[in-house]
Amino acid sequence: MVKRQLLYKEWKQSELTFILVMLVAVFATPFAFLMEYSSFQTCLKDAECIVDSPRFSYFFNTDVFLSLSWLMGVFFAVIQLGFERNKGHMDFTLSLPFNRSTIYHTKFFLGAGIIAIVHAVSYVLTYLLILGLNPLETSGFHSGYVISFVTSLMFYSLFFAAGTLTGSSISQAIVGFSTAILPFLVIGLPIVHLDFILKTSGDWLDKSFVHLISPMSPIIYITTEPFQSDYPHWFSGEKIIIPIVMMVLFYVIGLISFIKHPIERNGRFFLYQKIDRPIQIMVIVFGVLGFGWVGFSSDNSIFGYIAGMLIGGAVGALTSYFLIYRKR
Amino acid sequence: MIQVQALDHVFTIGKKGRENEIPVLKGIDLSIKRGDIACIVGRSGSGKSTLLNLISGYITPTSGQIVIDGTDVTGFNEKEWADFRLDHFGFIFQSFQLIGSLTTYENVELPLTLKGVKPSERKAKVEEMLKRVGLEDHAGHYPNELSGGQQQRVSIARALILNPSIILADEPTGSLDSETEGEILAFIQQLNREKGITFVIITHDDEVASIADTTFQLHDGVLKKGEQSIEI
Repeated sequence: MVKRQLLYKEWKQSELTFILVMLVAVFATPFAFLMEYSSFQTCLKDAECIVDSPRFSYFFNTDVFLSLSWLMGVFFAVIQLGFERNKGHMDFTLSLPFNRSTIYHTKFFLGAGIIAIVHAVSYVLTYLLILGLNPLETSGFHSGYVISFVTSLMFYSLFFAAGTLTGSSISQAIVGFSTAILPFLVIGLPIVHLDFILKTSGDWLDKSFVHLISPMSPIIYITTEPFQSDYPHWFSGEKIIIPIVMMVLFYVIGLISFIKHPIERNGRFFLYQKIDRPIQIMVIVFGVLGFGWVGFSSDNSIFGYIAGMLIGGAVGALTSYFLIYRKR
Repeated sequence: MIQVQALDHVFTIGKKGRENEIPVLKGIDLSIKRGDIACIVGRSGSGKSTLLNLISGYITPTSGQIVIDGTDVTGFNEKEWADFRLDHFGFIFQSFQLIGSLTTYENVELPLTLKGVKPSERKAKVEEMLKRVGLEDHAGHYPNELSGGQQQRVSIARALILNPSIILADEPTGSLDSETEGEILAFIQQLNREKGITFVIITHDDEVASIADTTFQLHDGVLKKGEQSIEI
């Protein structure tokens, strides 16, 4: 499944980037924790500085690294597939005496392994600091790390799958981010328009967004929303289980796509010509619906609605032409 | 020896039921003798890269047969292709495709590492190979510290290190100036003479084609009749 020798090649190919990202990511949370503690101690000594409690507390739910660790997943996936295609190294990788599924698994598990190591080391360092500094409260310490880890892996898997479908790093990033908000585009936009046309009370619309579209959208798991107590859940453990299911789904899509991808289309927007046209149409439709909604929201008039749709149609057509058609 | 018989390759585009078939290669018959330098010449879009991808097993032909060194590889699965490539092929690319964070030595050593050869054995082989390509003084240099010609020599050394019987080269001098191109072509001829390695070279450059024992002209996916094998 994963070949040690190939792992060496993959590591060496992006060694410096991996090491730099690991160094920053491993020390980010312990350092932030320490800085916060240091500021707290300084504040305690300052008569004019007011603190809620004489003992230090740290809220991991709002920690910068844990909130942004998904970027690491995006970055690794783009380096391992998109940049490799941009540099023309993919032909060399595929010429090596390994079958494609081995190459895919080796690449995937290298990135996933680094993400796991970064989280584990950061967790241990922070835990040692907690033991040493004995804060009053460390809200979201365990859950914050677990959610951050799972979300990073899910985004890594999502962008990795995008990288197996697309021919360059830019198209990989665009497809990855578009997929992260896809339920908002595919379900959200049409129902917003339906609500406008049918002039309903809007309750069902809010419920659809909260209970259906949001949980299905990968983007929602990188916000702090799932941490909040009033956040509605389908079931308990949703914020862990759904990203895990998504991660597995994207992993399988990526594996199938990587095994079958036509190498001669490197550099094109999509590696599969068959999906060029449907996606072009989708981009134009999203442009029409999205701008139509914005146009209506701006002045609540049918004029704004139609003008927005026309502008959206033009924007969508130009976007699909320059991004996809010209690079098909 | 590479024998290709009645090879067709078609790219299918469009929706199911309304597929549009674009023939890329049509009825290709060619034969490349062991120890020959064979050039597949054609304009962009003529199908030459597709033909190389079929010979190297990256893609499966729509129909036809490919026999390499007596083995019918047409029905090979991925695992069989991976094993076959390890034993038979070396690859040279237009853009060298060296790993920037590895030195010349490490880049040449890479295929041996991937094959699991012992470090002591690797050292002897890499040193000998670097001598052969005239880069023994550049062993510790990184690709960005080498000229284009030197980088292509590293790439050739990497392709040769596992002693393949066939080198598949896709526009090997496409990124080089004319002087360096001449140097690399002379080097390919020298390797061919000394080691008897078969070279299959994809090119659109007449200068490159001039070193070939056999040239195949591809035009719109068809090997032109009467030009199937041109002795230079």
